[in-house]
Amino acid sequence: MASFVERLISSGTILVQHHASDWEEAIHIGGTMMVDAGLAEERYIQAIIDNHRTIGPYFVIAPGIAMPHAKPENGVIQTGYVLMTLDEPVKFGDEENDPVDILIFAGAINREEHNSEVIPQIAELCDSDAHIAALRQSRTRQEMEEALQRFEAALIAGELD
Amino acid sequence: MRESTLEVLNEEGLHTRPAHEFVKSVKQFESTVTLQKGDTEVPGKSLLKIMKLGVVTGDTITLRCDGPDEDAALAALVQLIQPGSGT
Repeated sequence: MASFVERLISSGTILVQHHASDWEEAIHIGGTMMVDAGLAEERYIQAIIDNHRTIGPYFVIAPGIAMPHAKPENGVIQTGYVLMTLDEPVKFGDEENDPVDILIFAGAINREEHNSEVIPQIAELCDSDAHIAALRQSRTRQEMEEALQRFEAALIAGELD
Repeated sequence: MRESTLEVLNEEGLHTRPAHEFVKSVKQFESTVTLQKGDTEVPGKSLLKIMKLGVVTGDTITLRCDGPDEDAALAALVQLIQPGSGT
């Protein structure tokens, strides 16, 4: 099974301490990175926004963390991710977890990869307070990549809860 | 304590959106709810811990509800995981 961290670093889709004025702009910025990296078609961005509007903020999964995504059939080209931190958090309309300053965009090529790779690995990261704190503290892409590699090493070593 | 072991039939398993609905439903009850897949048992109100289980359609899981409204809680949660089952 491929890894979230490997894919993220090899696609270079990491944006550190970026600015977005609201949730929709944040989705556009990250979604455009997915398109530019060849991970998804343009329509995937609109699908994410439409999902949020129709279903609500279900992809805000932990305090300050959103995992914007849509279904494979909404234009995913290959399984991949964008990681973006914001200089100022934005609200997604989720009482429990707003405001959000970490966005992990995900797109899976099929439901199987979504359930076996994307969801469990992102949940592992988000459930680890120390590794999430390290992402928040990263000020450069290199620091962010190092933080991700430490998370991956801990995950492989079985050192996470 | 009430428990039920069942096959996950809803077609998307328990990933983000269905898991969110599951957690929301758990929080409406007073009872303590856990969900077990294989050897791992997680609290029913933790979205991240449920996501970590990676529950897909066809998996067998065990739901446990313990508290004053355990019957109602179990019935509601089974209905989420096996839509169309029961009444």
